[in-house]
Amino acid sequence: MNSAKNILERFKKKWQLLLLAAIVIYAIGPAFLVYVLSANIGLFMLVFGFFFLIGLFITKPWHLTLGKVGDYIDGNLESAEYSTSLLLLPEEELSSVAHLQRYRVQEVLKEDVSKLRPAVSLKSPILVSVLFLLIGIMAYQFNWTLSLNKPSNTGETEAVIAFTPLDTAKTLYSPPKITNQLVQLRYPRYSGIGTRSTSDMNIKALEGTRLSWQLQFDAPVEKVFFERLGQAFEMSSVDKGYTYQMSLGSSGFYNVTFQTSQGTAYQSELYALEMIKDQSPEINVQGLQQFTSFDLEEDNALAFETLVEDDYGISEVYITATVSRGEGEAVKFREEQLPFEQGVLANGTKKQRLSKKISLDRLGMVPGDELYFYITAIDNKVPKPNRTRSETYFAVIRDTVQNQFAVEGTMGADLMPAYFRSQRQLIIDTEKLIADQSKLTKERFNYTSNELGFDQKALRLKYGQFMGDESESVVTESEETEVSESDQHDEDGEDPLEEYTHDHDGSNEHNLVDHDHDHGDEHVETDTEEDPLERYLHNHDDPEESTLFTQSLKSKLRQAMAEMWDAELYLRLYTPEKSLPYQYRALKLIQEIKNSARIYVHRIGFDPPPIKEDKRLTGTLDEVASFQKREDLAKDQVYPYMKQAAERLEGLLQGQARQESDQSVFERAGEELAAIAILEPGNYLVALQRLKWLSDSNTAYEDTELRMVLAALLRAIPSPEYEPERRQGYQGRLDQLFLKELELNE
Amino acid sequence: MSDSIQFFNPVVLWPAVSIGLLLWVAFLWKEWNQPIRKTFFLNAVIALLAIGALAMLVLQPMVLDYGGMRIGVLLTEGYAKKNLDSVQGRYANVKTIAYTENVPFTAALDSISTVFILGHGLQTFDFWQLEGIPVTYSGTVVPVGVVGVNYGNLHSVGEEMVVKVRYNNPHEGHQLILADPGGKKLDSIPLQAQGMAEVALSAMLKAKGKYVYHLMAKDSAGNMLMKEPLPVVVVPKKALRILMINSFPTFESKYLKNYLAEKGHEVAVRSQLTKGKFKFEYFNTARRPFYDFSRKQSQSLDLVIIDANSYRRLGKKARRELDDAMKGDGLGVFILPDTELFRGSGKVSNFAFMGQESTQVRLNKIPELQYRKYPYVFKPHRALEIVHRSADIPVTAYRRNGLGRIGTTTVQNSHEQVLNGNAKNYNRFWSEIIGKLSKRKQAAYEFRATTTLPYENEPFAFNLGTSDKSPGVIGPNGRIALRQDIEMEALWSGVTYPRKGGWHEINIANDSTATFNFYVFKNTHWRSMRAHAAIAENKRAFNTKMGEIPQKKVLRPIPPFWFYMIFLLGMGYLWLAPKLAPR
Repeated sequence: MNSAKNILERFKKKWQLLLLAAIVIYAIGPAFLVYVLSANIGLFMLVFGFFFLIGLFITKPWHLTLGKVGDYIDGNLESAEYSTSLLLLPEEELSSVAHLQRYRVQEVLKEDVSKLRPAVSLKSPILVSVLFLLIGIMAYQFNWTLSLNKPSNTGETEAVIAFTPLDTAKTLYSPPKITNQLVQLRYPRYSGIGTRSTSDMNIKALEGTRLSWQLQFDAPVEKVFFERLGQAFEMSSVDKGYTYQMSLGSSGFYNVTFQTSQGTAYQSELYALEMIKDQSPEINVQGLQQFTSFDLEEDNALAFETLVEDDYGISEVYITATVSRGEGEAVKFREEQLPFEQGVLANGTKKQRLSKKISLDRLGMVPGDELYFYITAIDNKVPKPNRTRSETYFAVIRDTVQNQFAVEGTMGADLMPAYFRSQRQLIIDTEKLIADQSKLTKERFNYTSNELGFDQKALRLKYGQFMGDESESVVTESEETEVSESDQHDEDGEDPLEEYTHDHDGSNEHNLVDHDHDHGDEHVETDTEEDPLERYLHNHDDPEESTLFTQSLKSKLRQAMAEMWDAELYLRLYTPEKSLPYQYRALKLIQEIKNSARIYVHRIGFDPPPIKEDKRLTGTLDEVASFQKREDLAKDQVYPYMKQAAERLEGLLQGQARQESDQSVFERAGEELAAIAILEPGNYLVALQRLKWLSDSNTAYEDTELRMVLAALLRAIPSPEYEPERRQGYQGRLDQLFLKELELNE
Repeated sequence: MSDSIQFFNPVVLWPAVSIGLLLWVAFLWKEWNQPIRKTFFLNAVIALLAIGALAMLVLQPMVLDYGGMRIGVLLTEGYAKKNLDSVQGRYANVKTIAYTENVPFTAALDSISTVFILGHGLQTFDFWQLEGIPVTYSGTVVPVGVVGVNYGNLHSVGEEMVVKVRYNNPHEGHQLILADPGGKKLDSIPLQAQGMAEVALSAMLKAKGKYVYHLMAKDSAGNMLMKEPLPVVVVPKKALRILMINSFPTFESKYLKNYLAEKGHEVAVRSQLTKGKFKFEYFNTARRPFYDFSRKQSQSLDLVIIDANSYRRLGKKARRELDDAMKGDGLGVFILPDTELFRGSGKVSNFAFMGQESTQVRLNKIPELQYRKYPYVFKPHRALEIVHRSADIPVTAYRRNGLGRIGTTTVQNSHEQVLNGNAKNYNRFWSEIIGKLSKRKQAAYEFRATTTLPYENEPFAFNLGTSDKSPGVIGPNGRIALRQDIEMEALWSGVTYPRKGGWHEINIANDSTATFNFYVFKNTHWRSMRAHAAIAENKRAFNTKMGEIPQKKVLRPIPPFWFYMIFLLGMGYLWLAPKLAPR
């Protein structure tokens, strides 16, 4: 009975196994496809497990019972005579017929069960899997790959540094290979990028980045060199690998060479080292005119926004404002640094929008004042930050007072009242007064005369300023009051003449005495007691003497002032006729002073030397000599070695043997080409690499490589200019005869 | 007998006849002794026949007849099956012979009365094989592709290489490309569908050396149809020695002087200051004051640029010396013109002019620019050689004077081009004038290739012009024997057989500076051009029209088979007859 049940059990196991097999086959298909696409074994396992589990849950092989198995056998095996269930029943419960039948079935099953297959078809799972396999193979053929895995997959293999041996004789040993290559780019701290590492040997990084190369070889090597700009730096050996560090300061090319212990040298290709410069910040001011003006009553405030951008971060933005007040010589400046409303948001932000409202009132500006300001932005580059200045903007509060004058300016003449009259005006007025004497009342006449005297004084004081006569201006104040008093005196009919009479020595009146003495005289008048030594000293350091004028001018001015004194005196005495000669003299002196202060510029032009009349038209050429001059103007040939290299390359292509000199020619041609390549690395980099190989190694080269270098060289050599040359000709006897014959027949 | 029958082995005639007779006599004797003599005469005749046949096998008699004469058809590259069929259709007895270059086919030509050549034809060096045989060649379709290339293969650095190409039967969309030795495109031109396209391509030659440029043709899809080599020898430029004489300094002479000096030429300038006093300027050369012309002094000069005023004022002696230097040494003289020059008589300046209103001119070579000119033009003269012309009118011209040249121009103030920023055109203008007028360097040896397309393992023929009495020439395979021209003693010719493609040199044995470079093509190069040339050569050498086919008698050996059969039958009868006879 056990054996009978065993048959069913075995059949059930077989069924379950087949089910599992079907699930596995189902799951393998998609998993394989994923593997082909991603080349990732982990993903393969994941997909496989996923589909496997799904299959398990759908088919549920553990749910298969012996009853089901029995039913299946009954249904499909005729010889079982629907009695399989008898095998499952306990023997005791069976009738004797059933016993018999059971025995029969058991025997039959022993024979026939092997003919029966469980109801599991492997055809469709195999079909499905094959379909996936085909898709996978096609995917592989056409190189479809899942993009998510690309970087880790392709990058490594391509960029491994390829070395070529520099020596043909010793290539028998298999050269050491790079097992690990890495470049660490430590960006400057301010850039906020931090440290990156790459296995790509063509490097493009920010100025000031610290670069560190790490190379590991699978076999021991003797020395490793880092070559750049024709210089070789030995790479330092650090546990198993080699490393070299440098700070990126300029663009260029580099390559790596190494030597094995056998002394064989290997060289890599050239790689580009490209430096990116930190850009200066950009300032964009919005909502502001270059020139703004305000009226006094307006709200004197400027509001604007500024957009500041930088490629690595801004550290500071501020406004530099200058307020100017006054005009001409009296202008005064005040500079102030104003922060923006927000300040700089955070050190290192790349883009900031800042706003500012400048209140002109708060800057203490009054009408007529002008404000100039510009914005400075500084980025966070170290050690020397880049700074940018915006354009300068202007703001002004209109000066209302000045405006009133301007309104009447349409008349074409400035009607601003004169504060004082000029000497010429005084003369004109004086003459007019004399002419009008008969028409005027005596009082009016005297009054006008006195007024003119006052004007004469004002003029004198004005000129006194040029002399540096500060004391006089103090006197002015007091005199001013006295003038008004004197006016009163006038009316009182008193004679106040003495007070105003500047008692001049007649001798010095016309500047007959040297000005120094003149000067001394004045001091004698005022300061005799104060400094008894004065008259014995010839003192040039006197601050009084340090005026704007030269000595003679000064004496003239003094003289003019003396004349003015006298003119004033007579005006004040109501005798303008007597005053006039003094006034004329004063005018003349002032004119002279003015003229002498003018600068005359000679008219530019050829000033011929005076003709010596006695030599004129005599035709003697004794002093005319022949003249000789020698110069070398020939220009050097450009790119001589590139031209030479082109010739040699073509020779090699035509099957000539290599020469000793080739290497140095190629090397120098490489130097020349490098200068061009720095400007256009895209065009010439590969050619430069090949040229470097050719110049350094004796290895075999291929025609296509030579052709490529040759093409690049011929492209890089500039087109020559048109230039005449000496041609070659051959003149045979026949040609000569022919020419002779031609000439005879002419 | 000797007329009609000849023997291939006449030497053995008498031994064969005597041995035959001896044999027959022996047979007759043997037969006579037989008991039965009934068949004696028959046997005797049969034996004679058999022995005679044996003798003939040795002697190999020949007969003169027409019967074997055939028409030969020489099939060369590119023949059309159609043509062969038509020949075979017309004539019954046609023998085809395949032609391979450089392989003799004379053996196949016996019994051939006339030969038709089909295809592109024979190479010239194989013509000898057809000597004495009437040949007909009616030509064939010229192959598609380049059938002619015209370019100078010797240039100086900075010159423009102009390649003129004749392309037969191009298709629409094809383009011709001129590529540098590295394979980079320098110039290209699209071709129109037409019978024969004639186009020109050009490239600037930048560096000295021996280069192989390429001419390529591509179809519209960019597929390469052909890539053929264009060998060029580029030599460095040689500086000139120039003397400039001014009666007073002008801007024209100043700019010219600066241009020449900057280009590295040796320039001496003499400007007159006053009577007997001069200003001398020397550029790139040593001081060497120059007061008056003497032939001896001007021997070292290549060109004299003299202003018209100074030229007019040359003394009698100076003028004669200058003339001698031109005639004898090949000195070039360029007269910088002034108005007086054009008005003066032709005697003074060697040129005659006539008035013309226009004062502007465009040169054919530089059509984009206008030059200012004097209101005069050259009077046409057959000795006038033209440097620049505008339409058909000469603008700059020179005349030969012995070995030398003297020229002038009607252009004035050409330096304005420099001031206008057209320095390149100014340079071109003057480099053409100066290049043409300057003294030529006289070469002692002049090579000229007579084989235009040299191929490997084929003869390369060249001419050598030299005054050397017995020049020795060394070619790629050693010394080359030269043949002197029968009429011109200075002309020699030689042939060499280069074995490899690429550059080859021919040197003069006792002058290492005289070297002739030539490039040998591989057999795959320039097929269409070679075919075109062969067609032309064959047409020139052979009848192009089919004439009467002449009948020719030819001696032919009688096939020995028949003699052998006679002998066999005779012997068989003689052996068998006694056995069968009834006893």
